[in-house]
Amino acid sequence: MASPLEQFTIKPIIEAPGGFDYTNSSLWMTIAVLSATVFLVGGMRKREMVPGPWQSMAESVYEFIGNMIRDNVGSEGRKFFPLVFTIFMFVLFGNALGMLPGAFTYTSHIIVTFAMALFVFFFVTVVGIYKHGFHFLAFFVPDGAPKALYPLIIPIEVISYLSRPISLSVRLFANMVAGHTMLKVFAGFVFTLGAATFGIGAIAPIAINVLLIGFEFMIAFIQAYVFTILTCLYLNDALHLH
Amino acid sequence: MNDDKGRPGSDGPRPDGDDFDQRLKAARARHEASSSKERDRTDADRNKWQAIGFAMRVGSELIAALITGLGIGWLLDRWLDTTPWLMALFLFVGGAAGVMNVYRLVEGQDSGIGWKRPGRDRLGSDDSDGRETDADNSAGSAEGEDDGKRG
Repeated sequence: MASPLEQFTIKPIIEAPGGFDYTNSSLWMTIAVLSATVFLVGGMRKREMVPGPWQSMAESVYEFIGNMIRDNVGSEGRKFFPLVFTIFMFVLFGNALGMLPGAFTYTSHIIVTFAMALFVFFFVTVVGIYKHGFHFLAFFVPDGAPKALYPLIIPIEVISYLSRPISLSVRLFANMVAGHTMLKVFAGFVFTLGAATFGIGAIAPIAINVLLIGFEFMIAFIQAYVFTILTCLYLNDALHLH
Repeated sequence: MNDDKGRPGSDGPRPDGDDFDQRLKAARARHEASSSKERDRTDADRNKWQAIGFAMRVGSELIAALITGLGIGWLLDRWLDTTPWLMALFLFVGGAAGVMNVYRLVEGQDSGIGWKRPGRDRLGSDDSDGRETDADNSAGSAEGEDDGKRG
């Protein structure tokens, strides 16, 4: 039987020199971008006053992110809407499309999530420096702490700041890997237990897998939500330093 | 929409005008009741999502800071040729940063590095900045509770 981790292997679809292969990961990223575009552009095609089901889905995603930015960043965050919305859609579609049987979940690769998290990290840092200049460094100096403790506290603050892209990327990647591996492991039990007990033993792992799939859909949404809301909180930090 | 339908009944002299207005009023009351119930439900839903998102963050914040500390220590060791001392030192500093991350998360100070209150207090206007410094200590615990729910 296939290993539960086999689903995460990267396979080149179109070979290209210098490691620029078009892989199954790239294929599903393309599918995610295309389906997100179709979902939004197609939904807003008619622009009706009273939205139909499709249009209201597109509108509710828009409002969800709009409210998230308004609540967590404030009105200054409005100009970052395209970025935050793109991040949300890309992560959400990556997670959700990964739930299709046989699909590849590109968010299950640390390099993908880490690249996104690192981009967010640098973007937010640049925004902070652009907005506050040298004063941005005051970010790392705690309010009201005794000066004698600065040599201890400032390294802690710096590490705390540098840990952001790691916690952002590891959380998404680990959740995706763990979930999909667990699904595969229980699917494997269906065969091994079923074969040993004339099919009766297969019922329990199938039932668990049904539950797990529902759970995975929830995780797919929650992880996209957490990734996006943290982007908002980091932006808020950078914009409103003091 | 409802307004447009209601107006002809009240403007024009129509025999069943009163009846229509009453029915309209009743229908509006019903609609209001159900939609406010809807609003409560979605609020509760949103809090649930936020609570789960919040729980998801706690573990990874702790680990990530530890990993970062270890990584920095390892790099400094390689650079300064002091293996393994700086790595051991930064393991502890990273651990402290991790605990501080979690403490802030739970206190509702969120990702705010530098011991400042994040988000909501500072959102509205700039005049809250002045108030913030002295309100920080006294209001810290009370605000921490309702910020914490926000995740």
